[in-house]
Amino acid sequence: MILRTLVLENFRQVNGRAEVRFAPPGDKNVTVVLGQNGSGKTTLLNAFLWCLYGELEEMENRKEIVCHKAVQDAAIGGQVVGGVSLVVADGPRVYTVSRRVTYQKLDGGRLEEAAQQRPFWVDITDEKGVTTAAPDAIQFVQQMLPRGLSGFFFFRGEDMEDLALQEAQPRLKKGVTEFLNVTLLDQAISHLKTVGKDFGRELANIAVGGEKVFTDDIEAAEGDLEAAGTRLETAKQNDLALRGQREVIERHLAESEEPRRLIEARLRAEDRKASSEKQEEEARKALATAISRDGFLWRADEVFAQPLKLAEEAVKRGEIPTKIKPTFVEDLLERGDCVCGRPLDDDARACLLKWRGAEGLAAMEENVNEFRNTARGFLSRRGRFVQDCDRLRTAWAESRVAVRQAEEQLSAIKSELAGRDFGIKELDALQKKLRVVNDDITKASIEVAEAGGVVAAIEGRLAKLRADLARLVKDNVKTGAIQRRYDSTEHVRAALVAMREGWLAIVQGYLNKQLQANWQKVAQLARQVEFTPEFQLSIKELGPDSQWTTSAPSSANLRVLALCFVSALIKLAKEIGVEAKQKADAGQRVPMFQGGDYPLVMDAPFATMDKHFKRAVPGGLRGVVPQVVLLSSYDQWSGEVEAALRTAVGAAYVLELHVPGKGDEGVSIPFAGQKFDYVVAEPDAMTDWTTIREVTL
Amino acid sequence: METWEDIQGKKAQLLKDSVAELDQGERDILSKALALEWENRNLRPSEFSKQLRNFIQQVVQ
Repeated sequence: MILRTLVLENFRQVNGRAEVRFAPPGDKNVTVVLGQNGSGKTTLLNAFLWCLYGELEEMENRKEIVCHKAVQDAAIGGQVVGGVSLVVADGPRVYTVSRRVTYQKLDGGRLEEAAQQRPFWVDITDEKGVTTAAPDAIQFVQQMLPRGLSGFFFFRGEDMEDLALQEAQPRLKKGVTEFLNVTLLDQAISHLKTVGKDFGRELANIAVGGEKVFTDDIEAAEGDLEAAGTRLETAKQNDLALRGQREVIERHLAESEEPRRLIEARLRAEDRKASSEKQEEEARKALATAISRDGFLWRADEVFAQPLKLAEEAVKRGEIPTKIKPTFVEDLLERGDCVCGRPLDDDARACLLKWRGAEGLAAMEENVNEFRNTARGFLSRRGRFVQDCDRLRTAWAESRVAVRQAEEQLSAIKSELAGRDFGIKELDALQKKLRVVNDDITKASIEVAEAGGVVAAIEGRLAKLRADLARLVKDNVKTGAIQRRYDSTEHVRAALVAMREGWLAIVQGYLNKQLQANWQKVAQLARQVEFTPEFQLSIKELGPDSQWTTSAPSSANLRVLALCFVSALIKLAKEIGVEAKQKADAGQRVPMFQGGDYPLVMDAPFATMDKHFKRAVPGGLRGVVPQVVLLSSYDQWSGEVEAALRTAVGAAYVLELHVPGKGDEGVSIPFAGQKFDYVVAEPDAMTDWTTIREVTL
Repeated sequence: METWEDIQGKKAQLLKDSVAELDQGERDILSKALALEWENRNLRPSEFSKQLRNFIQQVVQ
């Protein structure tokens, strides 16, 4: 099943008709489809599944098949057709699988599904170019790719790592079982069990005497065995589910080690920021208070400079202090004496009175002195104010710098934490939950062991009862024959069970070796990987004591492990295909799943991978599978992935996302030396839609 | 590296070992069981058990 073409018509996000032609197997076996989030990468992945099985996975509005834009553009009463055709090649044969749905647009824009003559069909074109319709399209697709196996070839990156978890064990076992076509074997085993029970009942019905006692005991023991088997199965499932929970918790905790350091640094930076903000606020308030109280003094030196200068000059000129004080003149006048001791004559008295008239100078002196004192006081206060201001402004500036530094640090931490941000409390809660789950696992393991013991005891009792009964009825014509039929039925059933389990074990060993070889080629990292006899994927790393130890692997490790396993399955499918063809050529029975070459279609598989994996995995992967289709955002593509796959790309497309918005909000990307619209803002649009653009390589 | 031919060889040995303990009648029953499943693979399986039982009754007297 090599992909040739996917044709979409108004399917979900894709408006109008679009065709994607895939790169065939060979040196350039990679098809790249780049698209912004929301541009329809998952839609494209779902187009395969909807076309093959009529189902959509993990999508919103799963019932909405046709593109909103196509519905908007359609006239009332007109029809809107949505559909997908997938053309695949199987050797010289070409199969075209098509699915269509037609709606009629009613008043108000509502849609009503219209009758469709052929909603789903498969055309087969043989090596001579003759095309015929498959008589049963559903069965044809099931033989080409059973629904249960599609998840191994078409997957979203984020679902990929689930395959590598312990709890995926039933899914992996079921998948391998379907690959190996043991369905018929399973049915035969189930029918033989029914027949065996029938013989047992028949025996019980005709048994008498001692035989009856045994058949009754056997019947009772079978009832007990069934109940004990149910208990054991429940205990095993519970144990597996708990181990899966533990795995998830351990992985979260392991992945949180680095973030935890960052989160703690973030908490410290947040504290620093809060403390600096507080200091800034305090400095700002203190500065405001100082300015409010003494701000008027800011220019006091300029205001007081001139009057002080005048006063100082008056002093310098000898005008201040005044020569004679008013009180001194008053004393002389009162005493009638001159300063020399002689009595004042009229001239001297007149002179003194003239001096007393100059008393104003003394008053002025007092005023000037008072002013000088006041001005000096203000200037001194201003000096202190200026010092305070300088100090407070420095403190304010320093605290603002501290806030900014803390903000920059926070921003850097947040950027480093991107996508791994969680609270410390959550981690503590996880650790607590881990302790609880570990306790539960211990209890569940005990329950599994106990239930297993009960089953073994009943089986032993049952075997003894059957052996005793067989001896008893050996010579009885009627019951002896039924017992022999029962025994033969059980022998055949046991042989089929042994075949089934043995075949699964052989293939498990084969897949394990393929997985290990793929890991070497794809991951290029020293790890011990295994597909265990219990059908679980495991990965171990080299511990400090040079021993391989199981530790909680990262999401990226799990993804790569799952990819390597899927690649091993693809190899298995190829081998099954070769064998099926040989059988068909020899006229023998061909299996239900006929195998062959299969592609790997991946939506954002490299998102969580580090640089090493981004460099190693894409190139390694395309070397171990025949055809790769990579759906990716430009961000995840550009850089290491692009460098690793550049020479292997045989076809490329860009999903051009149209969104309502202003014309200048668009985004374009460079690809293969050309420039492509990636996001186009549509001023008149009311809904998103996507156009698929082919890249000329 | 183990080839697919090696796997086929192991499978053939497994089939041989699995039926080694069966007598001829039981081998016939095994073949019939698988043939019935194959012939009726696209049908509901409700009648298979009855056909299988009748066959076993004929083979084992």
